[in-house]
Amino acid sequence: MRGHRLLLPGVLVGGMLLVALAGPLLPIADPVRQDVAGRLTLSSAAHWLGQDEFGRDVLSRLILGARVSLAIAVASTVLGAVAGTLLGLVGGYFRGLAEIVTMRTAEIVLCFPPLLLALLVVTLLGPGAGTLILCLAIVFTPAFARVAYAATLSVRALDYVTAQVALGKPAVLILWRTLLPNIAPPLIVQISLTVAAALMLESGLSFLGLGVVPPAPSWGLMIRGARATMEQAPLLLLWPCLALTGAVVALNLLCDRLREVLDPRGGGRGRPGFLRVFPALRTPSRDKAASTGLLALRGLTLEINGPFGAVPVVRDVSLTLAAGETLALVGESGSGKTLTALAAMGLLPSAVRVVSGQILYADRNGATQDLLRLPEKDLRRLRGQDLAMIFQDPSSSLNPLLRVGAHLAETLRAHHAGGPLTARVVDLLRQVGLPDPARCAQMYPHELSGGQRQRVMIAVAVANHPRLLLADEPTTALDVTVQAQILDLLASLKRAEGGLGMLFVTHNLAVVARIADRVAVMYAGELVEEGPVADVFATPRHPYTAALIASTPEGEAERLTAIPGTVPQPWAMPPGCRFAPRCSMAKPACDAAPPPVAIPAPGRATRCLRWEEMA
Amino acid sequence: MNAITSLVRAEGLTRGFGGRAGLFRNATPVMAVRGVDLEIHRGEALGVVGESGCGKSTLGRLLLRLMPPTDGRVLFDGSDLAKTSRPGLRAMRRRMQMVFQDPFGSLDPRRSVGAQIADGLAAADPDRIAALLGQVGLDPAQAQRLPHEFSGGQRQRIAIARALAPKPDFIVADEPVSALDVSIQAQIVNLLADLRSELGLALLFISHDLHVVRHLCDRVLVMYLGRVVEQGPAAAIFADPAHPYTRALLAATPSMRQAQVGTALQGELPSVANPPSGCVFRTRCPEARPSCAEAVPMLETVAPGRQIACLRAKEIYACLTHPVASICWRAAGMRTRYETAPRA
Repeated sequence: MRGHRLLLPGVLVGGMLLVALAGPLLPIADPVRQDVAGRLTLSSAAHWLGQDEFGRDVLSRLILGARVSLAIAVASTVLGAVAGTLLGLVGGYFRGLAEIVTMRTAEIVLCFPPLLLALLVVTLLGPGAGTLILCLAIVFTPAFARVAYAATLSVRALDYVTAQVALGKPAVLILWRTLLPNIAPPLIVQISLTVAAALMLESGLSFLGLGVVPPAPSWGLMIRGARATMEQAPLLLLWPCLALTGAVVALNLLCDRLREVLDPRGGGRGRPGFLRVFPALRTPSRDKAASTGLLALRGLTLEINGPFGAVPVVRDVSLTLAAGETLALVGESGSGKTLTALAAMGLLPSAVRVVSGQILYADRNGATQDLLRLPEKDLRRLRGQDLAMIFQDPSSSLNPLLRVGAHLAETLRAHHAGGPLTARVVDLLRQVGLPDPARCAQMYPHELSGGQRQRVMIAVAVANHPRLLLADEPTTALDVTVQAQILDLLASLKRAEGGLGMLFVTHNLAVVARIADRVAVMYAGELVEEGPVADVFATPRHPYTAALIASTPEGEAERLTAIPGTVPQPWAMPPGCRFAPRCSMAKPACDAAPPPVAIPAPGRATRCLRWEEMA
Repeated sequence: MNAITSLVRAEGLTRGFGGRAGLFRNATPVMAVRGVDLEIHRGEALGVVGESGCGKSTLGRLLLRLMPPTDGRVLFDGSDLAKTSRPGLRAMRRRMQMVFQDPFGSLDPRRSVGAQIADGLAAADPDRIAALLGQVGLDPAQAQRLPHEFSGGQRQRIAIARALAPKPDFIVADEPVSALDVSIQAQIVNLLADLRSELGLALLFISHDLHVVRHLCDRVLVMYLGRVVEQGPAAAIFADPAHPYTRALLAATPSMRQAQVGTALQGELPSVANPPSGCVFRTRCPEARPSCAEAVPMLETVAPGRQIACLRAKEIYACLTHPVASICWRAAGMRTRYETAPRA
């Protein structure tokens, strides 16, 4: 399927090679036969591209020159690549003495100016194509060695290489079968750059008289000859330059495509989704006034543009968060829990699109706003002031170049004009339990531990007394003892800031039990159950919730109750209940249509047809 | 415990990193593992718990000799791995295997899963590959596929199949379920438990999830900053943790079914490069006394099969045998509270 990407560069390079190889068989003029009378004439029927300063045919010199130029470029690159890769592989894999011998040798060669090296080799061996190949190969080897060495160092640390060692495989086999294919992509890029460089260098060295010996044709010699007469016949300079450029572009294209095709995962896919602001929905919001609580999601549906067209990743999610309440949003990866939470902040990865729904937020003045239909200007005023967020990875959410205090000052300044900030900054850092807050404000993020960084993130989030705090897996990257500290901190902050509503996204049911008042369970983009934590955990009303609880390794059960199968892919969702294929209670009706939301008790909801049968 | 029945035995295992003094190098090595003794019997599952940076992964790799120890030795089935010849070690490696944490990094992305499982076999026998895939609950017809065509849980099954291929006696599983979703975690934990009972595998199970360890392991080793602070039968340790660190660790581990009352630890793990003098835990220990800074506490037996490394081991031992432990803890002036009650 991906092979066709090689077609265009393959035809170009293949054509070029074919013409060069078939050169002597083609009915073209003798490239070295001089014709003084016809020197510097423009194109004619006999000489399509004209004649050079000795009256030789330019076209035939171009074609036969390609043989020499390409042969030198390809041969020297292959030699350099083989030698360099070998040095880099051995040095990077065995380290120690092998590393010193191989890499230091390569570095010494790298320090030598290429021209000086060429002069040296040519003086020793005399000019000619063979000398040039050897000389260029020596020049290229260190670059390959360094690329191979760096790639080997990163690949050898990967678990699949360790697994080969653990299987008792000999080192040669590991190098050949496991390391080499996996360090190939950067090497292929290096090859494409080197072939181009070799073509250029060959031209340069021949131009200087160090390479191919006249009258044998080569592109470099053609440029050299044309330079002397470039004022009378500028076209003579153009042809070899065009050939050179064309060859370099075609080879680069081929190597680039080759690298993509060799990647089993298919290049280009799986790029990180950058968060971006999404445009406000145009459709008017219906009965906003009927909303209760701080935040209410109604029928939120999000789509993603996947390989098989638009697929809904979050479908018809409705939930309510009251002021002062902590609502935990629980689900496995791919359940849409993070996307749902991000949408409430008006931030989504660029591939995700809001299709329909409402996100109703009751602001400080008691007015209800639909965040999905709010202009970006108003939304930005809310973000950071009314709405605040804590992310999973505390190390990547702080700017490494800014001091801790600067992060806080920036947030404070963005929403309040002027005033003495230092005192407030230190106060905030003390509030989140950082030792020696004044000194801490002067530190850079890398000087803090993971838990301390998360405390700073929390300080930034609560700086402007938000009314809604969104915490996306805030403790997942932390150790348990630090996790306990952060959970305690969040609970005490909630007590201090009366009326702060918290939406807590997590996959960990035990954390939910510790921190949340109510829980909403998501599965494959749908909300399957919602209710008070104690009730839901004691008497789950959806088989998925029950299975999740049963699969948590706590208690005395000899064997865990695993949920068979895997979460369905967003583009292959079952037509009816999305959990039906993995559900032990599924019946034919479950597959027919998506089950409606049922209300088993006040304050609880489930999306299951058979909730009444769950004891 | 006699040496003949133990399959894996480590004595004074120590590993430092970057200790070689040189022109531009710091001469003090970072000690990732310090003086660990352990024994694993045939068919036994030993859990290693601790927070990140406590040296548990390094310990696993030392036992398999994927890295040489700075000091101490590892005996596998009675023979010293350091004294085994290179071909002998390669042959012995087939009897001890490893399962890694990251299901996306543990398989070569460019080779079919069948070929990677065949790496563990003497010859690439399609029937045997199919049997192994079936054993870990995968469709044998998928052997020709590349790893990226599988989900995280399926990849972990493939990695387990590869580890099982050479019919090992001992498997080190380094956080094999932490990168997986809860519902998938249970599948893998069950699979490991089944394989252990079917094949009589000895298992070193490294995890930061205490609940999983309690479920799967016979014995537990609690590590802090490269040292073992407590070891003993899993059931006893989880029911009645003795070392102040173990108590704090259990108190910090959130539970769905139990409401815990416990002391939250202050601060975070000190840097491994610059550990505290004396008892490494003393900077965070609620029970620390001035004398804790002076000497490194050795592991002492406090109950049958249970050992802790704490200067106050005697007081703790007295409380473990006391009819009402919590009263005794309070009477001894111990501050680490750890009590559990079922959630309402």
